[in-house]
Amino acid sequence: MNPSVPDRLTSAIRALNFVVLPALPSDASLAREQTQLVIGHLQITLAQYASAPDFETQEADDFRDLLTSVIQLAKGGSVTAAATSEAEKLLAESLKQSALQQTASLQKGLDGLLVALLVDGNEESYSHIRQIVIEQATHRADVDRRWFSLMGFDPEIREIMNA
Amino acid sequence: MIDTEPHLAEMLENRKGRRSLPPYIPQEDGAIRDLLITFFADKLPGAAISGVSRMGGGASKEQFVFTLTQTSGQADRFVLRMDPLEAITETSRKREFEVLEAFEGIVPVPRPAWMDADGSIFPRPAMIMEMVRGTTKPSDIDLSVTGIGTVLGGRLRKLIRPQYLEMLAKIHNFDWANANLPSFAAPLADPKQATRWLINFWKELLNQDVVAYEPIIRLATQYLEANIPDCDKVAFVHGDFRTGNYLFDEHTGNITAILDWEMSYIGDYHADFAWLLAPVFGTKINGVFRASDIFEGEEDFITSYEAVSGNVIDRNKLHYFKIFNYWKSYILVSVLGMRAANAQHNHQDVLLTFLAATGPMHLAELANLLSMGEVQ
Repeated sequence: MNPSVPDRLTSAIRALNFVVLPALPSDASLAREQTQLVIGHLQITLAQYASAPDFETQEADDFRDLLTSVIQLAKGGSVTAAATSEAEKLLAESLKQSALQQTASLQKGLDGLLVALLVDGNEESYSHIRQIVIEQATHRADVDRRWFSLMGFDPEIREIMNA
Repeated sequence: MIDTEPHLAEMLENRKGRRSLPPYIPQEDGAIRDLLITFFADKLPGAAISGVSRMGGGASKEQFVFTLTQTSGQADRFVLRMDPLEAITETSRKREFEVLEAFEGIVPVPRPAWMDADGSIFPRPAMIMEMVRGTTKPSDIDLSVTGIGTVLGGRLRKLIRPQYLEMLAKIHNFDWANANLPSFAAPLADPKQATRWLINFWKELLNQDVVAYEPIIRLATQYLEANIPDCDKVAFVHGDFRTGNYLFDEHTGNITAILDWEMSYIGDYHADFAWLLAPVFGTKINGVFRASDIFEGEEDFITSYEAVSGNVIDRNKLHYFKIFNYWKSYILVSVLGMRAANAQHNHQDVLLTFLAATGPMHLAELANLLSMGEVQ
């Protein structure tokens, strides 16, 4: 039997918890703090491991939907037109990339368009795009906060999830 | 150079040169001891260094505690605070040293003792200050990251609250114009210069370190640039005032030192309010949110602060600076922090990647505030 990723992570967590941490001097505060953080990271990574590919794919899909909408809504002068062309190119190229690369490319396209719209974009167009960017950010922040809820520093999202 | 405080503009230019350096190897206690011996060789000939050990806590500087024994036999504990190659913040040890000196006797601060401003002895710029007794959180509460969501509990909350307000008021009412702060510049050219400088500083850091192009961050940048409010009172701003950034005596509840002045500047004090009211630095217990685990909601803080300080809090500016602070928080944890960790330029990458996961909390707040439109 080959050791799976969860097998390896679990054994690493046990070693850090029961061998390394107790062996550290009580006054080695940074080393103790960092060991605890490593344990936390590994525990959360273990919990997220199986769903990580779906999470990354969903993120890329969300940004693809947003960029597609923004391209359709973007109206303005030559600067906006150039940014729209560049965004269309990034949108097409992104289909050949990994999920994380797709998100990075799509975000870059969106950023270029938002900058351009402020230069010579149609005011109504910018206002509409601003609205859908805010709506998508609200959605993505909710998804991401749930994803990182195991980190333990977001009591509000944990409350929402437990409701 | 960008249009911000001259000392900071120069610092931002200089940091570009460090970007391509190889990974940073954290200093070992023995190496630090040798560096301290070299540092004190001409300053305090015959002095001995002992008990060097790393300190935990904090997310920006490398810190070591040590004992300095002078030839008279006097032995004191000091803290060496040194820049890593890159960190969650970009700040100046020179400014931090100046501000600690300036506030001695006004609010409790660690006494700054020596400085190596350009890293001529230490690998990076460093300062040495006295060790102050106290803790940032009660010993019976277990939290992995100092300062985030620190729970003081009922007894300490009651004892600390009046001191917290009084010290914040003293900082904001500080006579900076007559203080010795040569590395600081006062933004007096026009009413918007204070906040324009601030925005330009953080925007430059964002541009230098950009790791992802979050659309909501772009919208926030555009909003902040387009809506800069006038600064009616140019005040001293701590920049990171919250529970977790002061030391207190667990038994008496007395605050023994205000810490982490590295992001301080002269400008609009509303930035401090938005910062200390942020949910990420507060607690929510049994449905009750407390900012800095002290104030039961925004109004509780505002009325108390205004009564103690004599300063007025403008709700419109508070709205603007909340947007600024979530934007700044995102830049700190998800841009500078991730850049430093990815480049392996820090001594606690593992903490930086942990803290970066707070990024979505800041984005959620930004989306909410920006959806409210212009200043309310």
